[in-house]
Order: sequence, then structure tokens, then C-alpha cells
Amino acid sequence: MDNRLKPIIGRVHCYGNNVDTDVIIPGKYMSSTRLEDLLPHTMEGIDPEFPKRVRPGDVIVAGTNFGCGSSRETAVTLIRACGVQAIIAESFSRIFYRNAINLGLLVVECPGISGAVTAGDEVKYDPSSGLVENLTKPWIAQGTVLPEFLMQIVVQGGAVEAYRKSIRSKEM
Amino acid sequence: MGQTIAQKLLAKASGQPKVQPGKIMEVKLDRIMIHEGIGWGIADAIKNLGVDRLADPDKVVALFDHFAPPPNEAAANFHRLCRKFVSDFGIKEFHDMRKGICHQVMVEDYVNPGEVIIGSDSHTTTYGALGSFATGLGFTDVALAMVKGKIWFKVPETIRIDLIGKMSDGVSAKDVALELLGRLKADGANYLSCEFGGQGLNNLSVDGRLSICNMSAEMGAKVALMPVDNQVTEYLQLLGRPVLPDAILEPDPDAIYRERLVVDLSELTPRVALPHSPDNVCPVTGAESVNVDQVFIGSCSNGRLEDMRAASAILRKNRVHSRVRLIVIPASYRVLSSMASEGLLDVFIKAGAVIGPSTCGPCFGGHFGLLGEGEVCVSTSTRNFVGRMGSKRASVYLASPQTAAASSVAGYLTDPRKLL
Repeated sequence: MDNRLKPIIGRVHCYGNNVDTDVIIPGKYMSSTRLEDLLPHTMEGIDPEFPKRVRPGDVIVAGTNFGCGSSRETAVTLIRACGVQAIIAESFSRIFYRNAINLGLLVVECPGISGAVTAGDEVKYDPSSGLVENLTKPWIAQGTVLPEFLMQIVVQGGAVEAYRKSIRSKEM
Repeated sequence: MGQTIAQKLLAKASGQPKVQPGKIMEVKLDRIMIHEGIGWGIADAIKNLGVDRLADPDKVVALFDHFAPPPNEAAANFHRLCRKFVSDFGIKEFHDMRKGICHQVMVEDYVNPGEVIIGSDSHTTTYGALGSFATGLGFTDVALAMVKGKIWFKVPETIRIDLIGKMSDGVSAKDVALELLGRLKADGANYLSCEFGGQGLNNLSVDGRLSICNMSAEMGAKVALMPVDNQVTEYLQLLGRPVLPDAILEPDPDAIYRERLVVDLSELTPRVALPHSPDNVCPVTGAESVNVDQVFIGSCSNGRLEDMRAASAILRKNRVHSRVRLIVIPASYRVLSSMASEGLLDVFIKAGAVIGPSTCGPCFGGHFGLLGEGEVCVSTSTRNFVGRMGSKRASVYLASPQTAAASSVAGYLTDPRKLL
């Protein structure tokens, strides 16, 4: 398997600061664990049309402290299941960041991004250089490059897959 | 170079003399707490890991609190799946819905100073009031930790918060937590350890300290840590868990802090977090015209005996306003039992409160007191995000048990000092 992530290009959905996991998926729906029950409520608290508007390969751009609040990993599961391939934010809340990596969702910190990109723009992120570029209007900035051990988790599709692979390689 | 409490705890857990902030290390865990997170992702992750046993099932504590008791058929079936998982993996420390809200149960029955603990819930930071390095994580992290018995952490930098002075009547630990949130904001402690100290801590009960460490999660804190003093030692002694002398860790005098701040408890007045963020804090007197439909006293933040005593002191001589629904939920059945023996239940019932079983229900918007469109709730719980307690057009004001009780009497957001 290629052990590097390739550059990604995606159409942007924009949000502000402190997007919490309750607005991503409210607790009142969580007695169901079926993805098809939960998906239509993704981002319901701030953007009810999101599940209808989002397309595979899209990118979420947000301000500071994205994913704050509850540790519910369901928030990442749903954003990923909607087809979002990366979240680029000024900063992430600690638990959300770990959850995203663990589920193989690319998360990039990029100071300055929230004022430089508007909904519908196309952005490009290069995981090797960390550069984030707005392809719709000229703007480029330095985002984070994932530390190697986190990069490998994302490359393998998440922490569960990475663990299974490490067990298999020990057995061989 | 000196070390903070967080550094010392992680150094001890990994058998090293010192650890520096920024270092990524694997740490052996003393306890893992799981709740309905089992069904939300932990069971699936463990199944997908392809393992049939846990590293040490006896270190896992499992219980139900979010859907306790199940509000609907889906939740009942959800619990059935969780029970099967608990049984399949031989988890003996399983309490179903008999004990209460996870964090209070952990404090009452399990947490010891010096331990490293994770939980499938963001408010696991609560246990730091007993000197434990405790933090909340997502379902995959918890599943991996259950299988491996250890987990990776980045050693956090620390914010030092010194408390001085003594709170005046009508002011409580929740007001301290809200004051800190107002100052540091929702990401002010993101990835960091909040280390508390100072003479003012002596004037805070263990119940109050638990509330402050609980709410540190709302500032993004990885852990909140307080020194293990005589009050903590006595508290644990009463619960039958004597503190071992080597479990008591103090920060070095030359420890390096990223930031320091001081809170003078004697200057503090009742605080409220306005909708829709726990860091949107102002004095209660600045928002007193807000009419209230519901008041909720409970949650892992403020469902403890001290909270119930404080609220009942106001309700002993006042009735709940006819327009207001007051919902009181103890954080555990131990708390409920103490409320009964101290006569507090009677006070709440006579004042017109509705008493619920120990559950996270209303706080996380699951059940037992959700809000309709346009409704206003004063709540002692942890969060007031949009849609947190039901309708996304409802408004939640976070406040102390005293402020909540006073507001239930007046029918509008009220400074409790008026009713003392």
C-alpha cells in the first residue's frame, strides 16, 4: 500500500468557531445506532440542509475549536459517512481531533483559513507539504502536516485497521 | 527543571523519573469507564479489531446512565446489545442502571489518587479533584485501550489556577467554574492540564472541587488536577478507600506553567452562562429579566449532596413558581439515599419539584425533561449548546444549584443572595 496520502481537492462548506458535537448530532437522536436514521440529522443544529447539499469529496472549513463538547465519536462517523474527505479548521477540540484520526478522517489545522474561504470554493490540501490553497480565488497558507504515526493511521483508514495490520505483521 | 502534577502522574505511570510536555508516550491504565458508549461505537470497534478478549476486564467499569431508564423501545434494545457485550467480555464491574451517573459512581466507588483513568465521556476530567489523571476519549480510543490495556497521550502543558480567599454566601463552586470559563473561554485549556492550587481550595468541599474539575472539560482541558489534601483523604477514608502516602503528589516549586491565573473567591458573585455556550458568562444580576419555564438541578456537574443541600436551603422556605417546572435529579443513588435520610426529598417535594431517577437524560437532551420551542431553562448541567436539551429554539442558562433554586421560586433568572 502507498504509505503517503495524496493531495486532495474538494468543494467547501464553511462554519464558524466552536462547532460543537451537539449541533453535529443532537443527543436526542442517539437511541438509534443505525447510520440511515442518524445521517439526515448531521449538522442539524447549524445547517439542516447539509445532508442534502453535501457531495462525496467535499471539505469542511471552520474556525477555532471545531468539534468541542461531547466525546461522541458519532459526530465524526456521520461527517465521514456524508462523504466529507477532510476538515480544515483554525483549530480542533482535543477529543474530536483524536476521534477523526482514529476513524481515518483527515483533519488539518490551518490558521487564517476561516476568513479566506467561502462556501462553494474549491480548496486543495497537500498532506506532504501541509499547504492549503484556495483554487477559486488566489490564497495559499501553511497548514499542519500530520505527525508520521498519525499519518499512518489515516492512510490505513483508521486506528482499528492500523491495529489489525500491526497484529498481522507480528504474526507473519 | 520542575514538573507539574500532570507531568509527575504520567512520569510515575510510565516508570520514568521525568517527562516533558509534548512527549508522546504510551501509558498503562488503572481504570476504564464505559457507559452507553458501548453501543455507540465501542462494541463495534472491538468486534472490528477481531479480538475476543480484553487486556484486563477487571479494570473496566461499565454502567448505563444516558438512557437510564430507557425512554423508548429503541433505547431498551440498545441496552440489550450493551448488556450482551458486557457479558461476552466478562466485565464484572457492571452496574446496569442501578448506581447513577458514571462520574459520580466512579468517584464514590473506584477513583484513587495517582491513578490514570480514561472514560468514554468528556467529563471524565471530574476525577482530577481526587488527584487522578483522568480524561475522556472517543469510542475507538476506549476500545483500543480496553484491548491493549494502555493508550497514547501527549504530555500536556499546564495552566496553573490559584484560588485565594473564601466565597461569600450564595456563591458556590459552579460560580468558580463559570468564572474560569468566562475568562479562559471554550478552548482556553484545549489539550492542557488545568492545575488548581492555593489556599482558597481549603474553602472548597470535595463536592465543589469535583464540579470545577468537571466543568474544566468545557474549556477543552485534557485533565484537571487538584492536590490531595486532608479533605480528599477524609472523603476517601469515609468511602472505605484509604489514601496511600505515595499517591500524594505536589507540583515542584519550579514547575513550568504555560499560563497562570488567580481567582479571588471572596470577590466572586453568582455567575450564569448565557445561551448558547458555556463560556458566554456574566453575573446573574446582568440577566435577571429572563423568564424561566423549567429549572433543572442535577447532572454530573451539580447533582451531588452539597448541591442538593444548597438548593433545598432556598426551597425550604419558598415554593416553586406556578409557571415553572423544577426537575431535581441526584447524580447517584447514594446521593438520593442521603437526600432521603437528611429530609431533603421532602423539602423538594413540598416545594413542588419533580424528582427523577439518576440519569444524564435532560443534560444531554435524551429524555426526562426536554425543552420545547422557545422555552427557557436554568440548568446546573454542563452545556447549553443549540439543541442540547431538546428544541434548537430553546435557551439554556447554566448556573449554580442556588441560582437555579432561586430562579425556580421567582420564575425568572434570580441572584440567590436575594432569597438567603
